Amino acid sequence: MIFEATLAEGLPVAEQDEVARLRRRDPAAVAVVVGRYQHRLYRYLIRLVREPAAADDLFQQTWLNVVRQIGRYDARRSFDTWLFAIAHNVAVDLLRRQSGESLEEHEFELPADTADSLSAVMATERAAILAAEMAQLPALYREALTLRFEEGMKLEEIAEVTHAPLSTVKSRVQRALECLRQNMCARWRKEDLL
Amino acid sequence: MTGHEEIRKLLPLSAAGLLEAAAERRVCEHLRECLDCAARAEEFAGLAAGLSALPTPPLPLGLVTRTEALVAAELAAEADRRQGALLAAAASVLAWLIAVAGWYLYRALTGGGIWGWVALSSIPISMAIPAAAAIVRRNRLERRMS
Repeated sequence: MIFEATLAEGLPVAEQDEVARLRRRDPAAVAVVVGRYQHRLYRYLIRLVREPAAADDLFQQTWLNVVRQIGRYDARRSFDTWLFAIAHNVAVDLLRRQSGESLEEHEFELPADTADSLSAVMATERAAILAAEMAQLPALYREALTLRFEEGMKLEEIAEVTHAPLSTVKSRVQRALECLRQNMCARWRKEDLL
Repeated sequence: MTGHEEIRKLLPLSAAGLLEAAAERRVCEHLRECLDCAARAEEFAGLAAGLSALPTPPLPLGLVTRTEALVAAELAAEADRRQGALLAAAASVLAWLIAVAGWYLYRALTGGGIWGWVALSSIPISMAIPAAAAIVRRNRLERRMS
């Protein structure tokens, strides 16, 4: 079978089987696939929309869309990327409807550069501070950072998920890190963290 | 733009592992000579490490169960729609066969014209449509109850 053969190229055996069963509308396969991706998908959505209630809705909507669109999934491509692209689309729809959250490409104003050393800030409370500072960034930057650093996606995969050119993805990652570094330097001093 | 400023712009991408080999080499060479950029590169490296190690937010209680129930309902609704479409297609084929056979039979038995046959064949059609709709409704109800 051509379909089975193409599946064999891209995915591990267990995942091939799950995706094939998902295509056959097997409810047991849905449970397995949801279980496999639950934490990663929820993390991506919560980083993007920030509110647990919204992330909850988007999580469910993403899986509904997966079931509805599984027939269009190209088995030669990564299932992860396809799944996150669906999640991206539902999140973008929500963010467009929400006021105060822009998804337009724009030059985000960087705070004035400071001479403080960030290495002092990288202490025990780093994770909480970093997550809080990351949440202050524009949605496009949060998305770029979570896909690159938490999901470990390559540039091409991020471009596929976000439907953006490679140069744009690069620029988003670069600006997001620059913003994050400057915000951390500006807001957190060594004595605040000790 | 000076080489120094140019390299500075590359530091976040270097920390993110998104630089091509040639650009990465240029950055490394510059960092060996420029302490200021080396310090900044270290900051970006710290950020990158911190972002990679951020704790995963906990899943809300019952989210997966609710999602699975929602997806199961969607699959059932889809199965209903498929079954309804299949039933409608089978009914159409059957109606067409009956109509063609009925036409020959009607002509052989009565020798009547086309309008008489149309009037006669509307009787089974008017009975078949509500019957098919009732079957689909009953199937849906059964799925909802189970």
